Amino acid sequence: MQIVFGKAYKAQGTSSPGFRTGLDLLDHLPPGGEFRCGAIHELLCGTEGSAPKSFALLLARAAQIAAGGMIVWSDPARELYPPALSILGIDPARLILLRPGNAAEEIRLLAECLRCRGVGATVASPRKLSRVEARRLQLAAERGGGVGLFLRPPACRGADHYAAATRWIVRPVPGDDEAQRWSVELVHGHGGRVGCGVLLEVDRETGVMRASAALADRSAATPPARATA
Amino acid sequence: MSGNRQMVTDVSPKAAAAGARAGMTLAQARSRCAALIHAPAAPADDLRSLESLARWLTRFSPLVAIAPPCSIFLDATGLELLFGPDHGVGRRVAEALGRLHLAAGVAMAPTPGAAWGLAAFGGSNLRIVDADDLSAALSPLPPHALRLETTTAHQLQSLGVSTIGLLLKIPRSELAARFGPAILERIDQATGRTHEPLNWLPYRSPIHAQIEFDGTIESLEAIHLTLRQLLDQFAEQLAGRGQGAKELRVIFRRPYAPPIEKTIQLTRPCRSAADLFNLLRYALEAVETDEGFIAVHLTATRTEPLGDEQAPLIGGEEERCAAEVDHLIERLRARLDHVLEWAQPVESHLPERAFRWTQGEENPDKPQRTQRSQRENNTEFNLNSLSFSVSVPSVSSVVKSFSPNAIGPTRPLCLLPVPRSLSVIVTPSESRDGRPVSFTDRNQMHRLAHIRGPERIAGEWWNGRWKTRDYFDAQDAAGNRYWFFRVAETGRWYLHGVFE
Repeated sequence: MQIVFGKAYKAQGTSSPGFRTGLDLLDHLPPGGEFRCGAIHELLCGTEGSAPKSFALLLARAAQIAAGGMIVWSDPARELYPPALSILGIDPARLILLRPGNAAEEIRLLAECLRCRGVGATVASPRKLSRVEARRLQLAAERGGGVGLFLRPPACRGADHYAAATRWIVRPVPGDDEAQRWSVELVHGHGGRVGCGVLLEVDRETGVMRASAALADRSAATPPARATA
Repeated sequence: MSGNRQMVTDVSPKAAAAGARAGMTLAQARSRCAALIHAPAAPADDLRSLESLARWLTRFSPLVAIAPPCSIFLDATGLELLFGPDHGVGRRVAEALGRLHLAAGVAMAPTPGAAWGLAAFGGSNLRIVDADDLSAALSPLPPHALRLETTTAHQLQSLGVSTIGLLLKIPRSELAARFGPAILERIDQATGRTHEPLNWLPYRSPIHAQIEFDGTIESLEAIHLTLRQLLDQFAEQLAGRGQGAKELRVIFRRPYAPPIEKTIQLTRPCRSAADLFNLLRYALEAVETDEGFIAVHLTATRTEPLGDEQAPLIGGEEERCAAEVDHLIERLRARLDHVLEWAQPVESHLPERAFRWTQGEENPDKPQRTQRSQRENNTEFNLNSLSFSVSVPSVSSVVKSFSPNAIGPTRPLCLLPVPRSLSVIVTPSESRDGRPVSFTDRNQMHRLAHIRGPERIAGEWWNGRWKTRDYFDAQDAAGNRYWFFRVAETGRWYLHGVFE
């Protein structure tokens, strides 16, 4: 129960700072085989009205282990449940909840948090970003060196402007008695394996996350390629 | 506490009436009075609260001195000009202390020694004694009233010298030979033959800077410029005292409108003019500057000692990051109130009560020190049980961290602030214990599969929450996973969370 997501570690031997989640199949997908720090990663939901919080938590936790610092989570609707985060390995003393009053305020606050070097990961779900705002947030993240994780609604997929290093689409996939599953697919990311995906599953009993090969390839691979955390 | 014995150092009047005395052991005192309430003695806290009371009393006299453990001297020379003749100041002080619910003896006399004796042994009423009546007023008091050493006073008592009047009849030379020169000094201090120097508290002016303009100032640049000037003065004052500001109040006065007040909280004491200026600038963002200002006042409402800082050479990166987070928190708070929150674990098995939101200062790392009042500090015993039974349970139920055992193994990341009513189809059953088959939430049907549960969570019956919930963790056909419960008593269903 203590270490949930496996050991996240700083990627070595590469010039740009980054972090890995410890799930090899997932880490292969982004450019350079790691998630970049000082950048924004967008997680698009497959369905309206939900947000891939578990995937965001996986990345935020890995970023915090690699780079240190606080996690700032913007939660205007007061939906986030801190005890669950705590069980999954986030220290409540190092988690700051942001309560912006409106969208414009949220953007300003996010820029402040991203620009701060003491913040390892900033998680938010901004509804709409103009080209200027997206660029401003990206520059703030570059200056701060932390990771911005934006949970976006599916409608954002068609947006022609975005300022994220990688964009992922996360769709729920039918699970079973043991696990809840999502398919995670990289949709944008220069130099990454765009179009490839993995199956992310979380153990319903313990909360441990695993990555396995996407559903289509799964029958072919024997034994199933699986990186256990 | 001396050795293993718990000694009584002070008693409240009620405890004294029940037979408890200072100097006896706690067990002895308990045997005399079963309903005794006690608190550990904290001399350092007592001294601090005595000093703060003395500082508060500077509103009556510019010269105030403290004499531990429990005395305060005020120099009333010349105060009749302010508080009226006939020693109005004594009455005002006694009234003010009464309003603070401090059972203090107050006396005015020509010498500090006599005033102390009259206040301590002259009864509960205000005693005012002139120079002419001094010896008459002192003579009925016991020798303790001269602030003698305890052994000397006891010896006098056993010799039958029960009042100061009797003591003064003994020739001085014999007194000195028997008890040493200290007793003569105390007598002289009380009667006014020698001057008694007191350690007056040094006056601490509030750290304050202000500027008033001839006309209204409207342009933001001008306001920034004046703020910079003010902060330079301000930082100088802080540096002179070795203090850093922990809380600032800035007041912008406007020509035809009420002044705007802003309070800026800092996470750590600071006296850098540049940092403070940045915070003020953020605070100013939320202020309407259209009408212009006619004056700006800046006050440090809370300060803390701050040494000269030294840049750490080793391991600096982590500290720099922590400092940056502190700055971030300050900036965001200066801009908007209530924008940041921390989660603090609370011991409860009800999911929605297993934590609470806190704002700033009292985040789990730094538990707030409980404030104790002067009265609680000075009395070892307090029979007034009401004053102690407040707010203790809520503090003790706050725990250090969330533990999986206390709040259950599976909890969703997203918990609805208010559970949403669902209509659920269950398998046929005799009573209300059928398993859910599907539910309808906001006109959308979800067929359920892979149901886990029920996990039964009983209500906090001691808080009047009697209802028991049976939680289910289930997925629908699309793979969305929900956390919902049935109230066992009513059979109603509610959606409480989503695993996403």
